[in-house]
Amino acid sequence: MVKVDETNLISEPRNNVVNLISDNNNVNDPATTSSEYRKWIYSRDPSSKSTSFAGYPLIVIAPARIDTSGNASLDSSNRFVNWTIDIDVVSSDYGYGDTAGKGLEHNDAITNDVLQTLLDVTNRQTLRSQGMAFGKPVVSDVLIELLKQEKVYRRIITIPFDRNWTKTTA
Amino acid sequence: MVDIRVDFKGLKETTRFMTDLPKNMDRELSKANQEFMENVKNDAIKLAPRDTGELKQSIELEPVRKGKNIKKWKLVVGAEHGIYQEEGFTPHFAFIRNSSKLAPGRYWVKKNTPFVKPSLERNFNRYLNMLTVSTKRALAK
Repeated sequence: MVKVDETNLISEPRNNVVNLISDNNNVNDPATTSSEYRKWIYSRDPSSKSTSFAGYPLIVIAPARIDTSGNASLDSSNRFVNWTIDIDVVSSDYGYGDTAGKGLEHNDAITNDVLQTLLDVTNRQTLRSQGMAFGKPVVSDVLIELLKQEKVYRRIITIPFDRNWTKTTA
Repeated sequence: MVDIRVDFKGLKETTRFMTDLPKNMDRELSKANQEFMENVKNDAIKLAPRDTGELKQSIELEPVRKGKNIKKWKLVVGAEHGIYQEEGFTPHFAFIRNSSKLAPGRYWVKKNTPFVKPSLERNFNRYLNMLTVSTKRALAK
């Protein structure tokens, strides 16, 4: 993890969240065992018809949105900055063997892990030390949508980091 | 006899908070609205069927009125056939002239591909989250 400052205002907030979520000890991929590797964290919805697509469930961590309209210090070197990051948990009932028919179960399990990670005191202190405090996740309903002829469950976790006093000028 | 004295502190701050609240709420919710409409537009462009690309190119976001601090947005589909793709039509023979896939001629058309409603449905949950976040932000100011 890297501290957020004027050089990485848009990239590092997302990277810091990705670091937490992609840690196998924090969020466990229910479709594989710990010894297997599968790409399941994306920055946008993957093309499910692509040959490199490794299947559901998957997590989409969208690019961070930034709001720099907050109050600034007198010399404008620091200001209050807000970030918003959306984490989509997407799963499907369609699968092979054990993974078939477990769309909602997988979605719930992953969301549990993501929330536990984001609300964990140690993780929150780590994020705070990198300039990303006050992250309070908001969780949506499960939306069942048709994606390329496949019904998928999608749950959106929006995590805002509000009013972080951030260095914005060198 | 017992003397009771009650001191109220922070009245000035409370008054300021109450005065600023509608303005802050308005600003934050307007931002959320614009973000939602942009997401709907982007998804509608993704979901719109493509032949010549005219339909995709004609999807735009416009403010309901011109000026500063716009709160209302509308999604405009400029292509004439957009409404039929969205709402459906009775199967019929159509003369197709400018398709990139079909030679000019009469074809039996029966299938439509809605693109605005699915994009609204897809973004609705995100919008609810955004409203929650925006409200909290306005209250925290």
